[in-house]
Amino acid sequence: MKTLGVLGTAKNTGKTTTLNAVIKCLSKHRLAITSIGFDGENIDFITGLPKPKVLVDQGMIVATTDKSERYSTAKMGLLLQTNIKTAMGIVGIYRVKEPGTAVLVGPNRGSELKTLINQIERFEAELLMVDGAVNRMIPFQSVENIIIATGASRSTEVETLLTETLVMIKCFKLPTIEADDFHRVQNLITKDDIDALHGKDKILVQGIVTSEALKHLLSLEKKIKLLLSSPMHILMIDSYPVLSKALESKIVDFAVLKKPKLLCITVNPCYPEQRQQGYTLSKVDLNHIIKNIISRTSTVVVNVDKEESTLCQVLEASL
Amino acid sequence: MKKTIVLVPLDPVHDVALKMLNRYLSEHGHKVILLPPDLKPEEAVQICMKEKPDFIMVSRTLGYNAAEILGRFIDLLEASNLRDTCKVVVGGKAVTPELAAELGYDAGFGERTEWEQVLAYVEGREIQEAENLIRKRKRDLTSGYSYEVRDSQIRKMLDTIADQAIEWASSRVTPGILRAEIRERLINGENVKSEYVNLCNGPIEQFYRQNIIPRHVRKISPAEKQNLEHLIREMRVSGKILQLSRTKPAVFVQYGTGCPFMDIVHIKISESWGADGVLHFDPSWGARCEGLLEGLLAHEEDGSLITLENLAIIKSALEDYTLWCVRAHRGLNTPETVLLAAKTGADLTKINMVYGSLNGGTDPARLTVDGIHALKLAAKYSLPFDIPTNEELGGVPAEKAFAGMITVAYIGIKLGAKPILKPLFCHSPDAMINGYMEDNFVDYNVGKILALRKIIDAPIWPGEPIGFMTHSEDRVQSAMTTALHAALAHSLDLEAITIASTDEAYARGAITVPARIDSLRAIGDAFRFFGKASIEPTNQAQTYAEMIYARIIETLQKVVDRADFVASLYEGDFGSKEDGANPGRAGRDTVIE
Repeated sequence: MKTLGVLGTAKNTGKTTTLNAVIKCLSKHRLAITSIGFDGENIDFITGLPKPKVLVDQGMIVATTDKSERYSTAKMGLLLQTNIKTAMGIVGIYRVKEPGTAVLVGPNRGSELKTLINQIERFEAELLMVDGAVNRMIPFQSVENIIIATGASRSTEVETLLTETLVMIKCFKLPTIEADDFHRVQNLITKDDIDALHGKDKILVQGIVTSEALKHLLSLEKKIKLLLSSPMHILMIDSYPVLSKALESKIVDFAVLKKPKLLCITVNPCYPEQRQQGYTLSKVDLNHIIKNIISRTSTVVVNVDKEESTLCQVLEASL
Repeated sequence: MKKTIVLVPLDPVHDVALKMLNRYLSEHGHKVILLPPDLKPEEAVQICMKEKPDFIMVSRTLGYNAAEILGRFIDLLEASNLRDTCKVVVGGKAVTPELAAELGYDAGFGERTEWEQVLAYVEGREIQEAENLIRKRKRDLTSGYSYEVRDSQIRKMLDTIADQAIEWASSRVTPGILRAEIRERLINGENVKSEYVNLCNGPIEQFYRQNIIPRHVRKISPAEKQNLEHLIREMRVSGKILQLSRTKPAVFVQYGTGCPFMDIVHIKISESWGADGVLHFDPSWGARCEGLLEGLLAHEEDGSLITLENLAIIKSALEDYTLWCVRAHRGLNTPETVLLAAKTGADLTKINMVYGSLNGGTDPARLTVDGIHALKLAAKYSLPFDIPTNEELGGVPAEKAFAGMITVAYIGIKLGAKPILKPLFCHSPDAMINGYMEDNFVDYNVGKILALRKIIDAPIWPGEPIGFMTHSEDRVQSAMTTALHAALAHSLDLEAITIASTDEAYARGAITVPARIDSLRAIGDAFRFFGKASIEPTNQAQTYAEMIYARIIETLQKVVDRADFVASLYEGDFGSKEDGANPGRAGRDTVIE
């Protein structure tokens, strides 16, 4: 069974819309679906704006909690109860008997997602789709393929969004290497953490690197190989501009232990704009970004609402 | 077992809840580390890695971007290998379990969380247990009252009036009483339907004889009923308690949307926002027809139809602690309604022959005979009855309405029933004309209570609803006046109050659920604000009490002198045409000697 995660850079970047498009593209395949958050609410918890619903077809495998299954309009039969606990109940594996909407609450960390993937294997799905939650990344270390959903909701400043997206693509293109002779640390958070490396030049960071640590490394002007657990771990940094600078520098040489394959990027030009009372849906023109990324990288970028067929082609080619 | 807990205010300013939690959890023997509110998430993660806590509790007010900040924090914890070793919890005013699930936290604690629930979670006890800590109980509004008439002069007058009325009614019967008797036989399975139909008239008779459904009435289908029953089974109410340091007053809401389904939803929502009791309001046209319909029926007008089936399904939806009053006070079906209320498990009913015949539209002689029989039924089935005095809204002075109320109460006591007095807390026409409330709304309302308490030791329940004539189209204003009147009842230690929704006076149709919640929330806050503290009236309250007391005696003296209770009703002793009271005509000449 293959696995595909939809990683969002913020709320309302179009994860569920992307997921629904993926389901449509791959409707001839045996699909399974879950979420690392809560999916299928009528209205957004914070903005109060309507949210798209996840639509599931007959025969699909759905991993969600007992409490959420009740609020789905799709009729489902329980196949297996897991031990995975969430704030909304215990996750079970279901098969859809009658199509409809599905409320999805699945495992919210990588280790549990891995357990779930192993448990779903036996039900002979060809692909498990994992919907993201807000801007969460780390649980996706357990999937093999990734689609990144970004857009105006992450930032309405087109240049910022472009820079960030390019940084993300770069991280997913980093080489994967073995950690044999690397010095291991958990995190690099402060200058002191860097000083504690005592000039070692091959470092495996299992957790995160902060911009403070990275800036200090750059200022030392001494070549260093930084090996991180995954591209998502690098992207946990608190400043993308600092990361961008480090990625371009000759001082820090990044690599990752493991990475999912980045299939494509979907962009959502709509975002919730705060008004005097509540939020309203506004739009930013993102064509510039789409063209720019395509011309500078080989990564496919699509506006899901308009270019579903492009997405389908990418999926057919890579899965 | 002692747990280590790191409290993380991922918020520039709002760390009050965590400070309180810090104290609470520390007092219960846990090791708590409260981080300052201006830490970077990475720094918080670093401290957590050092402390190796069992729990990380994050607090955050929810604005835009809050979700991303919380989402990133949980990712940082997972990347730092802390996610599998400690539970991570999010708290904040708008936090729900759904939001916690979305953000990947193990639990979410919102506004209505008790500290005990958090402690239970930390100590690994079932959270349900904490939810059940405070259990609402049904209160008996009449317990502790002697029903003694304190003033011997008034007691003598009431004896004279009550004996005459009971004696007069004892030799009379009405179609209403006969139907109540037949209804009891029908409930017991006897085949006496045709006898019942022979005593009905108008649309009720047509319903039974020709199967014509009255205008705006609709039968609820078996499928709809099934869905409703499913809904009732699924709805869970946690039973909020509005009164904190005092136990009184019980807070009642009125329902009568016309549709039992909507009523049930209104009831469940009112229960969950703290209502202690509900009152069933029937349509006014039903009070003017001889006979009651049957079956599960909806009604597209104000008031929900009284049928055995409607009442039974509403009863099935009530929480076991909710007091339920089915009013029977004013119409041609008064005895039968009391019977149905008793048979379907109501806790209370409502009977007032004076109000019912002066402002409710029923003939005084008819309602006197029916009312006395209804009081006997209330006594037989141990249903306390409340006595509204809403004639005051029509312009009748409080003292005349009170004289009527006390008379009905005394008749009830003589027949073995337990009355509850229901003076209005309102800005009444009489008070406006005479300037009783020119300075404040406290003194005159307090004066009413002092006068009643001087006369009789009986439960007092201002209704119906409190704050009548003080509401406006502005919901905030209406919630405010309701809450202030509730606070006054709270301060006077009265048994109960009936409240309106904040759109009741201006709803232009069915009242809305948010408007119900407005009043209940406002009252909860008023009770919280005053606690055991009281509202202090001016000396004028005592002056009003003496005035009302003296005028009640005057009114009762007139009735004694007339020596005919029914004649007093017709002739305006309890409220005249000039006062705004008109003897009703429904059921005239139907009393059989």
